Amino acid sequence: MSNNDFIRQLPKHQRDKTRSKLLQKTHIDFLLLMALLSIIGFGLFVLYSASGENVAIFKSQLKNLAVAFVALLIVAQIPSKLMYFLTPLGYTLATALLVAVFFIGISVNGSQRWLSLFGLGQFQPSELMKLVMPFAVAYFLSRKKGKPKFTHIVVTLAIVMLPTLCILKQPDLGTSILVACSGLFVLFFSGLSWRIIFSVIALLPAGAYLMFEFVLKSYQRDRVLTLLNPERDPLGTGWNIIQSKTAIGSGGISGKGWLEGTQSQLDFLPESSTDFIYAVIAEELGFIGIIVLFSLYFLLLLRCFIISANAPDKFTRLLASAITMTFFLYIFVNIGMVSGLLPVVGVPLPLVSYGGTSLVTLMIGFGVLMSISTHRKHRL
Amino acid sequence: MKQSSSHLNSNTNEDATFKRRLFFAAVCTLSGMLILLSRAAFLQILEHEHYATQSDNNRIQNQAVPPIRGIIYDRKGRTLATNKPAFSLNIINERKYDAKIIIEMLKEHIDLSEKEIQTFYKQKRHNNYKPGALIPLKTDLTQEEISKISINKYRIEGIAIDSHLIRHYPYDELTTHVIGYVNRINTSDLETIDKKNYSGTNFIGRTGIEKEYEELLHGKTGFQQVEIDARNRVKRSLDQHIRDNGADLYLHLDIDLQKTAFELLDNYRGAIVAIDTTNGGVLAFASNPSYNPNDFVSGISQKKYNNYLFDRDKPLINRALRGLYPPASTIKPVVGLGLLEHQTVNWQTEIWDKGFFQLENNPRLYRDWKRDGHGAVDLNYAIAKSCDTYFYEHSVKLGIDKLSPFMEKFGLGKTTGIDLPGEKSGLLPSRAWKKAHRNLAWYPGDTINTSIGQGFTQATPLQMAYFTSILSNKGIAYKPSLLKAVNEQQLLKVPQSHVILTDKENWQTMEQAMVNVVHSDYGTARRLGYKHERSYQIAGKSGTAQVKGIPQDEKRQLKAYEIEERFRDHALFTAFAPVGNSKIAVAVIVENGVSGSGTAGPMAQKIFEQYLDNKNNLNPSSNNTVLFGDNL
Repeated sequence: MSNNDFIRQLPKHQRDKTRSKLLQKTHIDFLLLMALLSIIGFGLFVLYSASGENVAIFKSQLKNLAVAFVALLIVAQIPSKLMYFLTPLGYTLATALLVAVFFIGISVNGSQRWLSLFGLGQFQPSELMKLVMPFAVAYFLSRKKGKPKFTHIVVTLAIVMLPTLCILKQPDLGTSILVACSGLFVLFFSGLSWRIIFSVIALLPAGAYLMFEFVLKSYQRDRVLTLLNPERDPLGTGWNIIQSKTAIGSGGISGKGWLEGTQSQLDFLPESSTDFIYAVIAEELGFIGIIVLFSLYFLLLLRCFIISANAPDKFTRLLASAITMTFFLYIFVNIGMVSGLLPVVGVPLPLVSYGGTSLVTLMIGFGVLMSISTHRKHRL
Repeated sequence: MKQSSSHLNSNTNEDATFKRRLFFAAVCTLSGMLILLSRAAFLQILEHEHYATQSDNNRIQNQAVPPIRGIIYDRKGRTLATNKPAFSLNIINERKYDAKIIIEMLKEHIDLSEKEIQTFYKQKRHNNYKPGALIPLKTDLTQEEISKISINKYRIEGIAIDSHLIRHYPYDELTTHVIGYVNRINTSDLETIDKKNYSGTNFIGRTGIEKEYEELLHGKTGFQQVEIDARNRVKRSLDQHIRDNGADLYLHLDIDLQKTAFELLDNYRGAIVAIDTTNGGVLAFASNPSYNPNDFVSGISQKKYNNYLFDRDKPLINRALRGLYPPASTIKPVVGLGLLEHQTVNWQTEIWDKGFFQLENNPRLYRDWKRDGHGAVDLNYAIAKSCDTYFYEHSVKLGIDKLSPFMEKFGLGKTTGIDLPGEKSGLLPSRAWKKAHRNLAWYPGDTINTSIGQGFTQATPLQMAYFTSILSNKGIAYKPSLLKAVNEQQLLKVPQSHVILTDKENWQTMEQAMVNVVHSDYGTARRLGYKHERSYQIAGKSGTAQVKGIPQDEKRQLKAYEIEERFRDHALFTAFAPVGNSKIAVAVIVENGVSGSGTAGPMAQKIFEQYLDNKNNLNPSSNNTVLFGDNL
């Protein structure tokens, strides 16, 4: 009898386990992979049209995806224990790089966000921080038992705020908020008391108003005002939102048809391959297309939640759930912005927008999830 | 064990907490998605109409395709009004193009006046230009300017040269009082015209033929529906209504004759009107001095306009159409026919002219132009020698109540209906008129004045040519018109009316009397008869219209040159030819020209020479031009 013959006669549950040995060996979570591939496939389909049938962009995105998948696979191999071990180093390094940006950072369009990679291009330390932050907070809080106490909260805030303020000063408001959130999610999942949560929520309107008046720069304030009334500057700051809503609304229930979206094809919709690609989906595939998009995202998130629920220890469960929620946050912010519910910030639509950096960052995050999902004490 | 169990318990508690938190997070995620989904539904279902319209508004642009204005030709197909391309310099409306910098760079190569720059900025501010649209900076570029700009275009980004058609009148001031001119549509025009039909066009007929036949000449604007992108570039055509270009108009006018008329009038103020007596077509319509219509097309400068406006010779006035003059002796053939019609006289009726006439029991002397009188005068002699006394005496006998209505039949006191805007109707006095307008009774003295075409009587040169043509046609009155044909279709000439005389012979005899004016050895215009060897005869009537009422006794003592020029009498001459086969009737008015037969007469003769001595025109079928088939 060969090996396969032996496997064939095993009862089903045992058979499945051996069949998935390949997947286990490579630490690939099958369901997560399927969910990712479906969304990515849908995204490519849309990108082809959004880019105006630009084969160069399409091919470039495929390359980005290849790189991103490689990153995912590599990270998936790393056991969570190793990640845990490397976290303090990672956090220190990322923070150091952020500080370095202030001194030797490259400026583009008035913001100092990049470091030169000496020939290999440029690199944004804030992207690295996006990955590292949940690790750092999860590392700290998983060492403590039970719900976080006051001192823990203070330390957590310190861990979160230090890099956040660095990023804020670049200036990069959008990224700083996302980085902060990814850390704060961990705090939430570790059991931060509801009282504190509600008090903070109660203070948000006041805080937002104060921020609006005193903290936000004029162009940022403009963005908020334009959100509330895009018509006040239809050819300037309001243009994006007006065109985006027009694109979405004119799609109707069944859309104008793939490749037939007039707003995107005729260049009325800016950033149609990147930040505003949601509008292209809405215009060309209609409400039905939107439902498809949401369903795919939902399935993906569902799998992520399940992985988080089944995470073996505190560190991994905090990490997984924070990564999941952060992913959801990206989706919510991008779609909210494109639909005219939130002010315009430069957040791409995850896994669909054209762009390499965002893909790699996201896939590393999914790699972590896969690692958490597949590195388990084997039960056989 | 206990430790481990509490450890286990806290673990379970933590588990439970975490699971709850995770569940809560999952629910938040779901509700977040639902919020976004309902937002999408709101935009895509509830507000779909609005956004669909918006997206169409973005991409669909209706472009007006302006029609080409019809060309105006004279009777022989020579172009009197046409469209010439004109070039304008524009700056493209895009944020990346800084107008200030562009203007500075342009100044190095061409002249840009402050006014042009100010107008540019004003337009940029007030008009809503789409991205990619052209904002005009300088119009009517010369060839040199176009070359200079084109050579340097590679260095100056954001400029564009645009071309459009502009109306042009090749004969300058010769045709102004006939064709008129077009100029820019203004705000008051916008209230009356169909804006849709005029979109994409800037000009509208302001005076003359350009105004009279504006609808025909303008045509219909076409529309093209195109799809544009965000840069205002046309992607493809969606729909179109083809434009109707304006119709070409062919006028009766003969530009050679018109030119001659102006040459004849020379420095005199005055008018010459020539009518084709076979169909009422206006062959010449000159008012001197005239002005250049090309000045008005693109907007005339205030300075230039003031020059025209305050010129003492008043070039802006169309004397042929609106100049009011006493017809003076030229009216005598009409009055004569009136006397015959009512049998106040016959051709044998004779008076002895002492040089004046007196009303019963009235010492006032109504003098003839000839101090000592003409002696024995019958109607023929009265016409040929232009004897005033004959007409005084018999008109008083006839009475204004019969005279005035008779004169009206010849078009006096009403417009002829020529196809030009602004015609004046002149003045034919009557008892009722005087009562209504002067609140006075009619005096016999008024009849006397009226009988020799003075007093209250006023006529335009056109009216004078008109009644002359009626005389030449033995009562058939064609409505004077300028338009001969539209595109290739001949217009039918319809006789407006007939003047019926009880004795048709009188037309003939009166004609003979008018022939005697020129061809007898006693006619006032006999010098015309001597001068030239012609194959035809001219029938005419001279006239001298008083300008200022210089008391008759005083006047005798003054020579013409002693009276200030503008107070000298006007010289008039009405005539038609060839006698027996009438083709053309002419009225010549020379302001302050003094002698009707001396100054105006030779002009009329020259007109006939040009029109008739040309072989084409003597031939019965000569009214066919090379272009068309049979005349009506």
